[in-house]
Amino acid sequence: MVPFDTSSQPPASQEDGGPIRSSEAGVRAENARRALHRARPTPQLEDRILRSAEWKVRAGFALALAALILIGGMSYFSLVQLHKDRVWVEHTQQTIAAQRLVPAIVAEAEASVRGYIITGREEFLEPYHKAVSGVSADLGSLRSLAANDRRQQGRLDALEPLVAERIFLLQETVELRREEGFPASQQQVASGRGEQIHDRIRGILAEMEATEQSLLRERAARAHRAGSVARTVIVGGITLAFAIVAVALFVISGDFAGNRRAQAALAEARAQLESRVQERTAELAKAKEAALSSQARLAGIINSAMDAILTVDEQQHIVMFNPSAEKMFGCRTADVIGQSLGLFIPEPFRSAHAHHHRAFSETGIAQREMGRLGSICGLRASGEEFPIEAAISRVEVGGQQLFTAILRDITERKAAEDTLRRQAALFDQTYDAVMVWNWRGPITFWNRGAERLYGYSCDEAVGKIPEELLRTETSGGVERFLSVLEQRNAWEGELEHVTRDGRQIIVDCRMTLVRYKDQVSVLEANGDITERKRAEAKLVAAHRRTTAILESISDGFNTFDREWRYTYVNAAAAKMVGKSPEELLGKNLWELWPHAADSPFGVAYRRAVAENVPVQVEAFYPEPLNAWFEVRCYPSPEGLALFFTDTTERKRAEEEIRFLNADLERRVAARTAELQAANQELESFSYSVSHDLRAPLRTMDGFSDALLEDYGPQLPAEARDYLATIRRGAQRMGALIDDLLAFSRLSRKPLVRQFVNMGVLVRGALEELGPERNGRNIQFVNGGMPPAQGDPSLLKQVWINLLSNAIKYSRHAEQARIEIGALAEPQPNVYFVRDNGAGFDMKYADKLFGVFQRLHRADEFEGTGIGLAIVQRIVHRHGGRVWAEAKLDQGAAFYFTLEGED
Amino acid sequence: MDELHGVEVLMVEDSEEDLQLALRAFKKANLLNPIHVARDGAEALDFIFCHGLHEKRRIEDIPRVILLDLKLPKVDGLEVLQRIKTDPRTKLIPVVVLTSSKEHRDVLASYEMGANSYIVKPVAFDGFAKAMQELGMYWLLLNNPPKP
Repeated sequence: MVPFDTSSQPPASQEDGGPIRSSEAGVRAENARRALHRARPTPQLEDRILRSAEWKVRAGFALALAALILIGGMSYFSLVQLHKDRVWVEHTQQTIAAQRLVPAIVAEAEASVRGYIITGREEFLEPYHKAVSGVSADLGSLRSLAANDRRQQGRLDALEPLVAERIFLLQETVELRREEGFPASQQQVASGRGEQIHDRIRGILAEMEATEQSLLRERAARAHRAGSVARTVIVGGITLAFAIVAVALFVISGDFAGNRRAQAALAEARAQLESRVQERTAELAKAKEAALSSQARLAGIINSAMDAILTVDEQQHIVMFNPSAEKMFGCRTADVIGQSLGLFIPEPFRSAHAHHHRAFSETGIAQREMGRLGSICGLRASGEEFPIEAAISRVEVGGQQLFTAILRDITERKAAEDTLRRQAALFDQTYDAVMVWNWRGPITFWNRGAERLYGYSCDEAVGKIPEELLRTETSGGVERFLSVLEQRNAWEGELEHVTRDGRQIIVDCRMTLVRYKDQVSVLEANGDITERKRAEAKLVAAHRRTTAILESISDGFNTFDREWRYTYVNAAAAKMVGKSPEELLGKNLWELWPHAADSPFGVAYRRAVAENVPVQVEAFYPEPLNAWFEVRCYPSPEGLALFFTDTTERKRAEEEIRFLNADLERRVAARTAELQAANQELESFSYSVSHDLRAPLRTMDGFSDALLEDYGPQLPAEARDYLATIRRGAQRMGALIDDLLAFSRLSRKPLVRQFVNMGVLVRGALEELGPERNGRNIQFVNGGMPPAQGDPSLLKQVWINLLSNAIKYSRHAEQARIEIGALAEPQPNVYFVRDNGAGFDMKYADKLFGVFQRLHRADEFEGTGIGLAIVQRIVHRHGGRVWAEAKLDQGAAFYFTLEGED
Repeated sequence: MDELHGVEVLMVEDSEEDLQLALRAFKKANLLNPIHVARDGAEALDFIFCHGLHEKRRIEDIPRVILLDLKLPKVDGLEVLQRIKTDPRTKLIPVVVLTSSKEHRDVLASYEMGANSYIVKPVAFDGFAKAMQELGMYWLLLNNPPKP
């Protein structure tokens, strides 16, 4: 059940995962065993059935066998006897046939001789010669046939001379015929001597035949008896055997019937098991095949590997040794298998190796890559020592540790390294940092320049990976330049490195890939360009800033060299002329813009360059630009710089403004004329009002007065009252007309703004109001007032009107009190006049400033209602605002400002 | 009103009512100086410069004062004033502009043209009478005009 026996495998297979496979096989065998176990119906039942059946079969077959042996033995003896009897019968018959042949031969010889005598022709003698030789043979066989019969031997002794004599006679006759002819021979025949001899031969032969015939009868009878016995024995024995077998079959047939179900179950289980076993077998066969092919591949690899590969066991005995190893160490595999590895380690290193080996076994590390150990020393059979690089792996096979070492002879590489190092040493004198490192490996050389540049000593640097030591950075990444280096065998560029003291430096680097056999090294020479790069970076940044500014401005900016070629074009410039910077750069100005040469622009540019002065020009450039440009030209040693603005829009706007202004002026003139006409009309109206409306009033008043004076005494008192009323009406009408005219004059009077001391104005107003203050005891509270900008005479009128009102409406107060001043809220310079007089109801406040609007009856407080209208008109003309706050019988306050709130 | 014996007051007034009131005020003020009344500007100029109906009058007989209304038919008061003040023979005659108008421009124009006084005729007769009285007292009694 275990088709894959690990112990039968060669060691190489065990290295190739052998232990794992054999343990797999063991598991499979165990599974198969379990399967068989499960397939059995019941072991005890089956055993019992088998044992009973077996016993019966054995007994039956033993009986049958015994019978058969008996029959066989009897049959054998019967048959042997029968055969002997038959042989004797046959022998007798042969003997009789041989006896009968003798006279026949003799007769044939006689007949032949007679033919020759008669004819004399030699060919008649042919049967004679045959008979002569045949008769002696026949006589020989007759003697041997009758060897055991003494009587017959005696008769043969008599017969042979007779036959010889007869043959001799015939010989004589033939001789006679040949030499003397027919008559002599005829004579001899006629002598009858031949016939006498012939009769005696016949007589002897007849006796012999009689003897043999009696023997034949006797022997035939005996043979017949023996045959009957044999038949009887055979037939009887077979019958007996059949009987025994039938009895045995009958006896065990019952057992078989009972056994059949178990047998069927067993058969099924077996079949099942069989199929499983076949499956397993197939799987294992496949696994084995895979193992074998993998083993074969591995063996192929090992055998064809360029590197030397050898395997040792824990005791350092070599168990595998490949052809490359043979070549490397100069010895044959057969000689080293089982030998200690120490054979290949030079004496001084042996103890160290043993130590390493132990250490490696104890680490539990399964692999150690090539080159990780650095180079170690090997010993060839010739006694030569040489450097080796080794990779070691460990596998455990059946509790036994095996170590496989892949070894590479690096003698040549070492030599190459040394050469390179020697060559590189020349670089020690250079100022540049020069280093050599193995491809994807450690630094092997580090010159003084490198020590100076990076701060690492040679001892510190050698053995380190350069990218790790120097923290190499480069645009595009380290891997990229390494791949370029690998492809082209050389690389040049800038690298960023970090020195030992943490400084970041930039180096100009040149690398060369040196391939020697399988060894790849890199020679790297670096120059410090950090300072230069920093200066460059500053310059670039400055240039970038300048460019960014130039690119961001909305003005166009161009520069030209001395040959009038574009050397710089900013984005705005390119956009303005409708071309890309690429279309302009390097092109000649005059070729690109044929109209420019004779244009004001061309004139200005040439002048700026010729006179070396800045020149400004604004002009229209025709096709294809059709635009106005304002250009400032600044000459420089490099050529000419132009700042320019597309002023087409501005020009159009200016044009538009000019047009609009003209239109506006026209409209203003028209409007002014209209206004003047209106003013004229208003003035003539006022004039007419002033002159013509007052005259009738004067007449009414004058003549009423005259009537009263001249005829008063004659008139009743009532009539005199009426006349007085007429006069009051006329006078009031006159006052209204005066106020109305004064009010209308305000609009026409031009406003003269100037610096006005409000305090002085208030004092002047109070002086003018002297008459009204007469006989009044008024407390004036005069707060400080800021100066104002306005028309002094008009503002004075404002104060007069407001103060006049305050005085008038406070006359019923017990102690009149008038405050004058300015507030800073709700805006700067809010002037006010506040009294504690009659006040008014705020719901009529909106009527307060209307022309002829009054909130008091004329008999309460006199007035036309024009004063506040005038105040409002003047304040509005100054761009200010006027408002009032009051409560009935609790006084009123009037506020005004002169500047607009906005 | 004897032209030959010299007119002391020339009153140029188109309004009959104003004229009556003015004369009444003069009378009340006891000003009895001879008064010649011209009812429009043209008549006033004829009188002053001795034309038409007044061609026999001697121009040297100048009135002591001329009371001139501004708003006059035919020839405007200001024109009359101008003619008086621009003629060397008449420019020394005191001219008192007596008008209903309080218009600033009238006042200004009058003074610019050489008016000697400007009096607004008030609606109330009391004031009117008072003004006339004062005016007459000043120009007729107190003022001593230079002789040409």
